Amino acid sequence: MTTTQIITRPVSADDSEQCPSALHKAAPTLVSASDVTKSYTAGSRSIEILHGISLSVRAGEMCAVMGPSGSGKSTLLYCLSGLEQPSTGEVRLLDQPTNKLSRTALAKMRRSDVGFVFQSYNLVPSLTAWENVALPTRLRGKRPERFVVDEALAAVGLAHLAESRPAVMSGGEQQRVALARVLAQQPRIIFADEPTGALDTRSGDMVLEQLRGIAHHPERCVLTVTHDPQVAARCDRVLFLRDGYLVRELRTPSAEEVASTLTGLAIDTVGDQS
Amino acid sequence: MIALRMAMADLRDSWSAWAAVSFTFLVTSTAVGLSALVLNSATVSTGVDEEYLPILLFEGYTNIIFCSLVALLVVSSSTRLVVASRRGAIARLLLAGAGPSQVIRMLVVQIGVVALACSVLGNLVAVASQKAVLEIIAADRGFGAPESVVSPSVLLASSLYCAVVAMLGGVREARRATMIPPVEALRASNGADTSSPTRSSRLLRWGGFATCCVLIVAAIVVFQAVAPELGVDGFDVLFQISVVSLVLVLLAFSLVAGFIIGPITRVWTRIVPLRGPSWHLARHMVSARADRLKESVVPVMISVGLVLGMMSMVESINATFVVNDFGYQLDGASIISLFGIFGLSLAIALAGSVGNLVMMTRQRDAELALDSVVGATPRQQVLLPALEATIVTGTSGLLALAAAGVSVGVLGHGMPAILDASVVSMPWGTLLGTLLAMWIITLAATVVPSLPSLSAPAPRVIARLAAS
Repeated sequence: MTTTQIITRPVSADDSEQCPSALHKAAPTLVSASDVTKSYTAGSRSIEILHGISLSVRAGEMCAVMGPSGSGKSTLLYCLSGLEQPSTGEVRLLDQPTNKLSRTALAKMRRSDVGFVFQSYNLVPSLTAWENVALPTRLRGKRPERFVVDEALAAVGLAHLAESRPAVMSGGEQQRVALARVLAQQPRIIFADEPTGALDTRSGDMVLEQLRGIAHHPERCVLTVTHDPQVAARCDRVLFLRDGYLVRELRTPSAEEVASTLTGLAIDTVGDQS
Repeated sequence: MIALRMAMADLRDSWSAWAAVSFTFLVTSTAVGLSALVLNSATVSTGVDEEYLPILLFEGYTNIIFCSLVALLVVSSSTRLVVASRRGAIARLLLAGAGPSQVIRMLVVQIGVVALACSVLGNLVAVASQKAVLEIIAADRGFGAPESVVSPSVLLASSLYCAVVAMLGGVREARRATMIPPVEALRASNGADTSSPTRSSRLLRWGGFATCCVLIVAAIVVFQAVAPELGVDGFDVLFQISVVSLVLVLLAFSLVAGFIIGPITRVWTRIVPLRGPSWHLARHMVSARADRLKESVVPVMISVGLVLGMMSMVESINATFVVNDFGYQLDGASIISLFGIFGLSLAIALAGSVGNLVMMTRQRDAELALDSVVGATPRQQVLLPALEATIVTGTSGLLALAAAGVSVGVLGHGMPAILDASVVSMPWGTLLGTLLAMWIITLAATVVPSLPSLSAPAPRVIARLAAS
């Protein structure tokens, strides 16, 4: 497939329906987007970041979103997770349209069914690691079970930092605390933005394995944004964004396939600009 | 010239940080300007009652001195917050090769520019309120109000004086800014100052606290020894010891505020029978931020403590006079008289408290956005800063009550040595009224600035903090 062919064929919402995997075919859709656009106003200009994105992620699936810088990956993630509302189109989380849900209903969904692992700014600075992991439970008005939080922190190798605050932790440690929060929360959908971006290889592997473990649960899924072909290669499906368009999809790709597709997109971007 | 250019360029970038503390500069210039105008009116206008002139001069000079002292402390703490919020920017300047003296000059010039800009508005407020203030003071003392005279030269002098006071208050913090380890400041994930007080600073603060306590005890012991010789004349001495005790206790609490606010807050908020998630989170956050919140707790504590302490002393003395059949009451001890002497400096302290709370808005907004990402509802996001304000007021109130209790205790302990009967009285209504007023002010300073961010998407609010 040439680079031109890659760019000219937008991915449709039905693509995931054609998935050869029997597991995914039978599984319910947990996240879906239909013709989503997102625009921002900068001064008097309106800039459209996402142009008619349609996709779906099924239970038991780990899906990666890749693309050059400025392609709209993070914006797409925020729209899909309900943190931002799309300008047009519809996003459904657990079969509920996010634009029909009140802010309170969305918040309640985030504290139970949706988890986040971002590259940075994951944690509330004035709370300790333990309190950050227990935060979603606390916000539900319930007392967090000590052993659940302790085990989650131990699972990411940070039991010794339970009483430390984010300011004294490295970026990688903060990211692992965010992962521990997700492990304790046991959400059905996890949105991750560069989850291994600040980690060394060993910690990165550990985080990825934990995420894969969650994603391959029959009632859960993970959608992650990444720059790293090695990370994408460990996902079941990789979606490629370019200039706000969903342009390509690979299933269970190798790291080489991901890298060459990314290179193709980058070359094409340079070609378009020149 | 380069320092001025650098200062102005940096000021353009940091205007939002300075805007929050400019409220302190505004109130300081209003207070000093008003005091200077009152003094000028008292001396220039003809026909001022001979008995009234010394009172006006005393109040004018006392206000300028008190306002300057309080402004030095408040500006210093406000500058500390600005410097803390700009650790990253200052670290980048140092990394780019700026010398310590350049950074100090830059920050001091910025303080001077902001103070002068605020004094324009402050002077307008002072001019507009002068006539009413003169009339209120005169009515309280039963004299005719002097003519209200507005002198541009007096206003110019007070503006320059305020700028100098502000720059003096900021010099120490500017020096501290140059000690920021640049690489460490940039590496810290959120630019937060994670350094703890040095051992010498701890010793100095606890040493100051102990000295204040020793002075109070020594004053009580000496008074008890000489009281029989003084007789009823010892009453003046006892009253002065009580006033000094009040100031010393408030000073002692201010010195160790960074160490005691966290534990005190944890204890009293644990006792309160509230178990909701917002209360739980608010008390954890306030305890964790005790070091920064002391800048807000201390001014509120001083304001409530002075009002409560003075009023309780006046009430106790008047009640004692009645019991002893003295047939008269303390003159010039009304709440208006007290505010005439302490009111303007209290206003500066309060402005500092409000400015500091507003300064924390960006950090608070980001924390609320992070809470929202993990499921805090919009109601919880409003409730959290409201509870933070309640906890700040509660902790300040407890410390103020303790300070007032000590001063009235000194009075109550000494009175039996010189009088047949004595009464100690605490004006609970004043305490509740003052606390309510402080709570409303603190609430407005914490909740209102955060409201616009609550309607913005969480990632955008967090990105704003990250960008700054």
